[in-house]
Parts: sequence; structure tokens; C-alpha cells
Amino acid sequence: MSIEVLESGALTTVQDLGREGARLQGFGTNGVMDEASSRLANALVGNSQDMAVLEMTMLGAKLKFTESCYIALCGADMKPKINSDSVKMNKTYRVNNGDILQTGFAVSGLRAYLAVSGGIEGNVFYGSRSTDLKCGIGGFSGRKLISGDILSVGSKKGHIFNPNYAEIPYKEPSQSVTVRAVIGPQYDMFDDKGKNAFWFTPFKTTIQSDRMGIRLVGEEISAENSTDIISDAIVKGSVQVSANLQPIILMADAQTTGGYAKIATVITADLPLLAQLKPDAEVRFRQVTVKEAEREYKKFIRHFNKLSF
Amino acid sequence: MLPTFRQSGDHALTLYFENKIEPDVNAQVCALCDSLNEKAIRGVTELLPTFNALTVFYDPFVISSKSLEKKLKKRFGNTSNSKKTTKRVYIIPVCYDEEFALDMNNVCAHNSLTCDEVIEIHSSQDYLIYMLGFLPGFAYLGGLDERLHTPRLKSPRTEIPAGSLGIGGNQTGMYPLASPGGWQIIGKTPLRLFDGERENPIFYSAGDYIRFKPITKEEFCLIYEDENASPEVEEVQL
Repeated sequence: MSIEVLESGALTTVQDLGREGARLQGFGTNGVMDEASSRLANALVGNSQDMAVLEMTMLGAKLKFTESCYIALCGADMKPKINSDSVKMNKTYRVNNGDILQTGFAVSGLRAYLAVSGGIEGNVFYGSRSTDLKCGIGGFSGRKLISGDILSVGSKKGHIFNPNYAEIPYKEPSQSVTVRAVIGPQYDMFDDKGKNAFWFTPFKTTIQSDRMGIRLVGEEISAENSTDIISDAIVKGSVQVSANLQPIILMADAQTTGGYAKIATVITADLPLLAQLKPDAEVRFRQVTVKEAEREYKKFIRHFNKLSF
Repeated sequence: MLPTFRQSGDHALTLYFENKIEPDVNAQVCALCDSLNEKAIRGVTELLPTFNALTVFYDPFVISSKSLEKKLKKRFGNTSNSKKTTKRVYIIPVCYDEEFALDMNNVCAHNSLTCDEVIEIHSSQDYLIYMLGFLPGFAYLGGLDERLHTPRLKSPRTEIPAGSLGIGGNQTGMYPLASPGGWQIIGKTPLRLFDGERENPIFYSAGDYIRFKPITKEEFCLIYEDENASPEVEEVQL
């Protein structure tokens, strides 16, 4: 079973839940930006949660299927069509040999996720099929898709499900979000004015945002001294403040280590909200305790593990 | 001195040792990391040692930050301060020929040294790998001789070829991948420092040492053609 890429879209890559265990050597996690949409899409086609999907950014792809299978799209609404029929987001469809899925510009949100029953195949590196664009490893030849690529789809059958009932009401990703965060490792380096600016004033996303990080502008997050630190570990969601006193939320393609002070870390459950922000969207931060963060993490994972159709 | 604990989000806890870049501090980080690798704490998913800190990634379904902190404190008290008796040195062949040493003249001029003196000083010591980061396999090395310290380029290059060896301020290091960068380039290794197809994509780890061995252009070409070339390794008594 394979999928032919007729048009690639702006930035379409193979991603799964990311790479663990290779940070020691300097490899970041990569993986989907919006874990919630990817998990949901997989659930809708009967896949396990960690299977690889296609992440499409801003402008979606046009794909041709060579065999019948189930597909589902979640995340940004790219006005999908199968052949000439409009189809819904968050709903399972059966496609047959020769069917063409067309997606366009994202009318809501930024990233759409396509899951295919059996999962997208791709190169495995340190246990993950996620594409690392910088190193050219994982996924489809370690790069973004281009037209003419032929993707393989796994034959592994998912669990038994009833595709007729597989649908979840679609909600457009918001462009004004409040994300929860715990205080970061260098929180004490910032002065009261800086801390207040961070927690109580809104920030805007800029065009310089990408899979590496979401760059924000807003009030200065002032620190007593320089925000340079002895380089230490970065995690997905780390909010780093560099010399210009503006925050960057580090995301899936972030480096493993960094040399700027981190004021906070966005919790895993709220990272999907950030993945869907276009430029000029609004972000606010709300402080939670570590205990709450851990509880929300478990709630987030449990929610998707329970999903079956 | 007991490390301080700082949380990163919902699944990572970092232990910070003294706030400085020193071999002794880094050795404590590596010792704790080794201890956790030898005898794992249930729920710990990954360890990332850096200059003066160890980040412990964990699965919140198995262990909470609070109980992980308790276990780590206990472990720290029990980690014997037995110092390593040997060090592992990776010998990296480097061609300092002008074809690769794009900025050798800057380093010479800044430090009033001849090219041969720069090579002699640079290749006559073992550099501790404090940590890997920035790029896959990028080793942060300690101990660059003061006589070679040279400020970074005023305007960084948009692309430095993979394998390039450079000096940036008081640091020296190699670029495993082509990357933009502002370091003064003084040579190049023919080894593939990063190879995703290789069983071990990166040769060395934090805590190991690196020594640079000057080679001629002819030797460079021979090694470069051998895709499986790897560095010699020496175990040295401390």
C-alpha cells in the first residue's frame, strides 16, 4: 500500500510522537508539533497513538492512494476534499485505489495531521520515524515531502473499530490562547517587573516562528543581569528569554541544550494550542504548580488512550 | 555540596551543581549520571548531562517529581567520590592546511604566533568533552590554551562545512554538520563526525577526551575516502 505525493504543500513531513534517548548525543526529539491532533487522527483510523502521521503546515498536500484504507484529518482545517467531495475534519473516511485527497490553505489553525490506517512508514532513527530536517534523518529520507514521492503505509492492522461512528465534533483552533506553565529553572534571574510582564501581559506570535520555536513579542521580560547562562538542557515547552528580553517557546525541533535563561516551561497538554498559532496570534501564560502539571499530563495521555471507536 | 533541584515542565527535573564550567564540577555530573545508568531509578526515561547540571527525564505515570527528588538526594549521598583512574581519549585527525584553515591568519595575527606554533599548541593537549549539544555530536571542549583564544568572526559565515575545526573565544570545537557559525576555522577532520547510517552515529560521549592529530592533505584524502574511518581510541592512566 502506498501514497503518491502529487503536490507536497508548504512543509509536509512524516512525524510521530518523537525521539527519546538520543539527547545525550545531541539529537532533539522532533515529532509532531500538535500531539493532540496527531493522537486523535490515529485513534480515528484505529491506529495506535505512536504511529507516524503526515504533518502539513499552512498549505496542505495533494495525495493519491493506491489501495483502500481509512484516513482522518485533524488540527488545522485545510478544506479537505476526497476527489471532488468536501469532507469533514475529525472524521474517518474510507478511500479506495485511485482516490485523491486534496487539501488547501489552512483557514483555521496552522498544522493539519493526516493519519492513515496502518500508519505512515519511514526511516526509523533511535526508535522514531520523526523527520529531523536539520540532520536529514528519520521520516521520508530525512526531508520534507516533494511531489513525486511515494510513501509506504504499514500493513499492521489497528484494533477493530467501527469507522461509521468515528467522528469527534470539530472545533477551530483558537488564535488567542492561555497556556499553563510551571516556573522555569532560571526563574529567579528575572526581576519582579519581568515576572509580572510574563504572567500578566499578552504576547503576540511573530512570523519568525517555526518547528524549532515560537517567537513572541510583548512587554520586556526584564532580568537583573544578563540572561546568558551556562548552557543546560532544553525541553519541549521551555520558554527561553534571550538578550532582547522577548520569549521564545521551544518546540519539537529545538536543540537539546541552550545558553539563555528559561523563565518557565509550558505543560505538555497545552503545547498543541501553540502548534496551531499563526503569526500575530495572542498568547498568555498562567502559572501552575508541578503537581498540577503532572496531573494534567496524565489526564492528557489518559484521554487519548481511552479513545476508541 | 548538594545540588539544587529545578523542574522543567511536567516530566524533567534538573540537578544543578556549582554554577561554573570546571572539570571537577562536570565530573560530579558525570558520576551521578553513571550511577543512574548503572542502577536505574524506576520511571527515569532519559538522562542529559551538561556542563554543571544533570537533567533527568521521567514518566509522571511511574514517579512524581517529588519522589524522584527524594530518591536522587538519597542516591547523591551514596555516590562514592571514587575518581576515575583512566580517561578515554579519541584521537581526531585534523588537516590544518590553508585549504581548510580559512581563518588561520586571524588566529596567528591575534596571538602573534606562527601557523606552526598554533598547530603545535592546539594539537598537544587532551580536551575534556563537557557535553554534547547545539548540534548532534557537537562537543563542548574544555581547556583551550590561552595563547589561542581568539574572538569570533564579526560577521558569522552562513555555512561552515561539516568536519571544520574552529576557535570561538576561549573554546575550540568541531562542526559535525554543515551549519552557520562565527568561529575562526583552523582546520578540518576527514572523519564523518556524524553519520546517521552508522551503528553509533556519534563516536564519543560527555566525559571522554579529544586529542587532535595533525595530518597532511594526502592523509586527509585517504581517510576521507574511507567511509568507515573512525578515530583511534586510547585509554590513558590519570
